[in-house]
Amino acid sequence: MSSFINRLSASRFAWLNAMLIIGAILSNAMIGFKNIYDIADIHKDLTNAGEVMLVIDSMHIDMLNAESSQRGYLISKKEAFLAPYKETLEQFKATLKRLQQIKSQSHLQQARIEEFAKLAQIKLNSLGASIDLAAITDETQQQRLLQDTQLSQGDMRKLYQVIIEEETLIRQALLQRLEQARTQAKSNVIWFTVLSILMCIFIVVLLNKHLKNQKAAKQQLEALNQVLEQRVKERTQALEVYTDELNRSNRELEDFAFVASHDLQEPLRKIRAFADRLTTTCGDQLGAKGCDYLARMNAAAVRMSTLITDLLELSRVTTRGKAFVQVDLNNLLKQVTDDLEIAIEESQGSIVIHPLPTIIADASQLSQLFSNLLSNAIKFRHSQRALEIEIHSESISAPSHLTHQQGTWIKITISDNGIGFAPEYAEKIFTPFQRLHTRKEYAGTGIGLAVCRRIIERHGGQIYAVPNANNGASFTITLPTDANLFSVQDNTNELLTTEKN
Amino acid sequence: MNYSQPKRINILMADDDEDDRMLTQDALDEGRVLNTINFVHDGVELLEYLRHEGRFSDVRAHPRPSLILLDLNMPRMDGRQALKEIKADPNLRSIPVVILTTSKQEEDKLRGYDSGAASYISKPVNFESLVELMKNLGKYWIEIVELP
Repeated sequence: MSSFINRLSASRFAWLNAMLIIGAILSNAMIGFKNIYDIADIHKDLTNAGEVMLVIDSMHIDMLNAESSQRGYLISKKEAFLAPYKETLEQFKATLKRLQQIKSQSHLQQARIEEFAKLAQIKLNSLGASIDLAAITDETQQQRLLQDTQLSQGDMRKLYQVIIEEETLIRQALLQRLEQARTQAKSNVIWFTVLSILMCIFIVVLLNKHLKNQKAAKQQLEALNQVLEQRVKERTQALEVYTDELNRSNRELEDFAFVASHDLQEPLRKIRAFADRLTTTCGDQLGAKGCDYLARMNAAAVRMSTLITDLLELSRVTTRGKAFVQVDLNNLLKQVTDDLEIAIEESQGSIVIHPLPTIIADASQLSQLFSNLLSNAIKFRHSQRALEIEIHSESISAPSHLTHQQGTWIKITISDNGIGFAPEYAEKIFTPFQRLHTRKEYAGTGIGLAVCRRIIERHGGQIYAVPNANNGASFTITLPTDANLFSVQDNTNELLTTEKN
Repeated sequence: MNYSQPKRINILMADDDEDDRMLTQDALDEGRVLNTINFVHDGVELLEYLRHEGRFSDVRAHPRPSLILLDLNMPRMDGRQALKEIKADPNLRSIPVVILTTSKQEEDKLRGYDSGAASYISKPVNFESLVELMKNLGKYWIEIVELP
């Protein structure tokens, strides 16, 4: 019981472990993914910052080119100096477009960039205007125009520097973050590896322990089994010894009954013989009274002889039983009723026998059984009504009352309309030499039903009697369809051999 | 066959029971069966008698019997064994053996006849039956059967 509980908690423990391991793996994987995404984000931001700087730079350079070109033109008034300005004008549109697409990390920087773009646009416009004006205005005015542009040029330069510095700072912050993310990723990998190794070791240890436990449990079970087997063996042996002892004492008892009854017959025979001799040779001297005494003595000896014969018959049921063979009960009963034909005719009785099955039993004993039962029915018939006997059978499936082994049985009921018996004697009538009537009323020793019971018991069956509601009695027999399966240990053959020796 | 002079035969009875021996003698006398009868008490004596050994060496006093009445249950050597020995002996084999016993067991009957018994008879329960039996035995074995 305790090992069972242990096993239950062990399985729970295993499940908990599995959950923990899976949880650790999942969280590790999530952290790993997060690291990767972080690094990718930082890279993207870095690229963005670089782009911002590049675009701002190129715009700045463009502006410078445009400005120097304008200045050159204003001073020299030569169209050739305007070529870089025109080129810048072309490039500016594309650069502006690129600038508009870029978004800086910080809103402040973004606002600066937008401001820078606006200023660049204004600057370009003013440059364009100054160039257009140059054709019509005089030199002093041109000088003023130059100064104007130079002034605005100073604002832009300042803004440019701020943007570049800010963006450089952003980049540095990003690079720092990148470094951090990388370090974290590295430490994560190391932690995960360590954890994995630890888990592997843990699992191996657990598995090892489990295997050891299992081995120990198996050994324990085997040891227990052996103890149990040993105990069963011992019990079986004890039981065998007991059974042998029982069989032996049973056999002795039966031998005793047989020998005793046989040997008792001898002196009785002598008593009768010498009583005969006495009556014949000295009858005259003895007188009527003496002869009466002798006659009574003789009658008592005869009765005792009959009793002994009956006792012998009872003991022979088990000691002289024959092997169980196929018996057609219809034929068997036909024979029994044929033997009793005269008695049946004298009693003016009628016997109705319904179809009976064929079973495996001792034919001669069953013959004796039915003969006894039918003789009883005839003997104890009612003087006022014609005897009617009915025999019918049914097949039933039930466990044996002795071994509880399931089997098929036939239940035969023999009911008559005779004198019956009081219900309290239902069991008593099967006792050897038990009689319900005086010898004068009905002859006999009272062994018939005891023999019947013995026979039925030898077949592993049951017999009982009930008085009928409307006079008469019913005897019910249950017999196995195969007596070999249900017979109580049959030591008939053994007995035969011992007696022969 | 000479009818004027009744034939006499020698009967040998093997029985350990003194009462039975006496009753048998009485029954023979009562039945006026004019045969001589000799008694032995067990199987060993029976064989000694038949082989004229020991105290049975005098052949005149112990003539060869024409009929043996054999009890089955006897001390030293029982009737079953004695019967086997007689039937195994070429000199004795021809003597008819009638088993006269109290045993009513089927096996004894079967084995008796199997071993070569001429008849198997249960000892009668009263004296009258015994007298009747002795008369009938005498009549059968003396007047009807021709013995060697």
